[in-house]
Amino acid sequence: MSVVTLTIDNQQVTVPAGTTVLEAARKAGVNIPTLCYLKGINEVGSCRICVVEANKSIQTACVHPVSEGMVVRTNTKRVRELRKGIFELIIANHNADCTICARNLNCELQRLGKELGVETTPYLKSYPEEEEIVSPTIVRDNSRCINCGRCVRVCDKVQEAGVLAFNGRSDKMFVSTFYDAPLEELSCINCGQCIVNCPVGALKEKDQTAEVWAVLNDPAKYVIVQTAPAVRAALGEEFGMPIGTPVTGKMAAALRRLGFKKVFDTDFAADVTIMEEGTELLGRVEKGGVLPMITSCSPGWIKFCEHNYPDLLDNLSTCKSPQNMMGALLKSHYAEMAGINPDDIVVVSVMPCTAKKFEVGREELEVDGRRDVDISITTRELAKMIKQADIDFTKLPDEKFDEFYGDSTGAAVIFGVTGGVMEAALRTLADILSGKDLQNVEYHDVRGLEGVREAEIEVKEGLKLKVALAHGGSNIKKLMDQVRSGKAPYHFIEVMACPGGCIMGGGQPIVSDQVRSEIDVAVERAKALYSEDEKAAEYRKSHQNPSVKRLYDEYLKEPNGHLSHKLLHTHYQKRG
Amino acid sequence: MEGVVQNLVAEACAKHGNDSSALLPVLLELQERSGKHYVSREIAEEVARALEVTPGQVFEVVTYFAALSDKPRGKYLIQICESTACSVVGYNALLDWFKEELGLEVGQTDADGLFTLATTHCIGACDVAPAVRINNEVFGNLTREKVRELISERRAG
Repeated sequence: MSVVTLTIDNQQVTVPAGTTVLEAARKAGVNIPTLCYLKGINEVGSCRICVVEANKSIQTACVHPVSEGMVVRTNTKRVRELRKGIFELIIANHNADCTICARNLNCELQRLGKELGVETTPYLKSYPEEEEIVSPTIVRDNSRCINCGRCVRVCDKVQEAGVLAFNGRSDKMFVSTFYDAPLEELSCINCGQCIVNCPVGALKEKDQTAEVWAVLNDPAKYVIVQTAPAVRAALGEEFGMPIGTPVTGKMAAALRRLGFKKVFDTDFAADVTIMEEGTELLGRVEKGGVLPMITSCSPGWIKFCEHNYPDLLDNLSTCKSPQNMMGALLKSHYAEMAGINPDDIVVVSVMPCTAKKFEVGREELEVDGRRDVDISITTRELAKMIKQADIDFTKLPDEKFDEFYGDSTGAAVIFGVTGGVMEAALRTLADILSGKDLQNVEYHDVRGLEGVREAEIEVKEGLKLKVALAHGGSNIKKLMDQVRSGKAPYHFIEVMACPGGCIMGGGQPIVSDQVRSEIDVAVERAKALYSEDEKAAEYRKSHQNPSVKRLYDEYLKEPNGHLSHKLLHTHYQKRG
Repeated sequence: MEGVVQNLVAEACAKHGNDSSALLPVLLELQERSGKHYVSREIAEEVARALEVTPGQVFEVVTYFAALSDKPRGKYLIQICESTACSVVGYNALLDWFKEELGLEVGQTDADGLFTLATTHCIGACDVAPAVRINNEVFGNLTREKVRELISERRAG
């Protein structure tokens, strides 16, 4: 590979030919501001804030390739003034009422204004209320949109849902949807990747914190909260803690202080999922059922499958997601055990996910006409509630989840990262098939962030399970096209809609592109979950969870049994 | 109905090479055959499937080019040239005449679906400016009288 040597702000740097000035500068530790840029996804030079002097001519660093001996200056008077002018023109068409914006203090445009030292501008104007709900999960406000295109390209290239699009051209261009249709009419999977990639406050989830506050204030309601594995890996970021800090104990403490009657863990239901899904898989392998069997925890993936692979719905596990299994069990078994009328119970779930908001409303998940989960909020919404309650999160003590439905294993907590559901299933399957309590519980072959992975795991002597994993729409399509062609040799496939799995879900704290260029967020958040798994030294396998055992002994009787089917399994619909 | 759309799109795609780079000619052809000078949502969805691009990409192309439309237009698409040459020799007056004669604003279609009034970037008819294109025909050196004629001829069918 040929290399090129250039100087950036008087520092010499050597990079492969074809590298952009921006990437070369990042390598040299020189910061160039960006706004529309998303590495590998949106490299179009449209916002122009990254202008630099390259051999004395003005160029956009994110698209301008380096050349031998090039002299780059990133902070001359000319560059600084240009950037300021560009910034002023961007906010000329931006509703800059920052104090009442969801992204206040976490906005790439706002930070840029501060960095550039812009304190007055002749171009600001006021805007009418433009917020509109475009789906059961997503709210947009085009008055805040800066037309950077990051949401459109993520939807298109990363998720391959392709439902967002620019409408028109030039000064009349705006971000819209396919034929300006409401997202719920389209094959939107509610993944929320558009939200976490928006540099400003143009896109956000449908905020349901007010609904949660309302039920917490209602003395007639018994409000229970459950938290997904990935939430604990990222919630701390909202309070200034380093990316990758697990905050399980502080989260439980905060939830208790917010007023939830019981603080339970979706991890419990993740362990139940392994019991149900593992049994289902063994049944399919033994009885010649439809294979490969594909996981069904990710509601984004489920809708993706219903739209794009309706012919593969029989491959999906019939298991509900852990969120819904938990809700169904809380309103049946727990209600009975605690002597509470299930109609008085309100189940609130805290999820790293926006698609969960859609999932809770699916009618086919209801049991006896009752919804499993009443309100689903994102990690960000929980952080907002904690802030509204003026709780000093970082100073909270580490507390535990409440008993029984708060009990879980190391297998459950890794559900939040790509490969985790697979690994949890393998831990249990290997034990069941070998009849032993195997000591080696870590399956490193299924870990990692490669988009599509496959492995062959010997679960007992003479029986190798062929497994595969995919996360992120474009990777999922590669694997599912193979399944559709009939050439996939796998028994079991794990699919997660978001790239990286739930830790990178659309409901997680938003990390700016600048920080992402320095820290691999998925790697750090995954570490947080794997460390929680390792800490759970006593139980790292779902079937060893004593409370799950009791649930089966005393109530469900057996996995995939009659009651399980009523409460914990579901069906899907073709959406075309 | 679905089969009709599928066949129509398959035919257009085959004609232009069944490749995503043929998106523009495919859309122009399908718009031409729509009878209403537009690419319907159903057609766009089918084109996306056939050429293996996302629906969003098709929509972006349809709304980017003045030649394409995502909304039905009249049997006669009147596009007044707003180029520099036309602007300096009477584009504004020409636009007013059409607005008055048709009772339409730019972007509107009349109730019986006969005329749509639109503007366009340069159509290369600067020598006969101010010019207008009606469907695929260009008319130049226009006066108010000629505008009336152009409209009444088409009203008469």
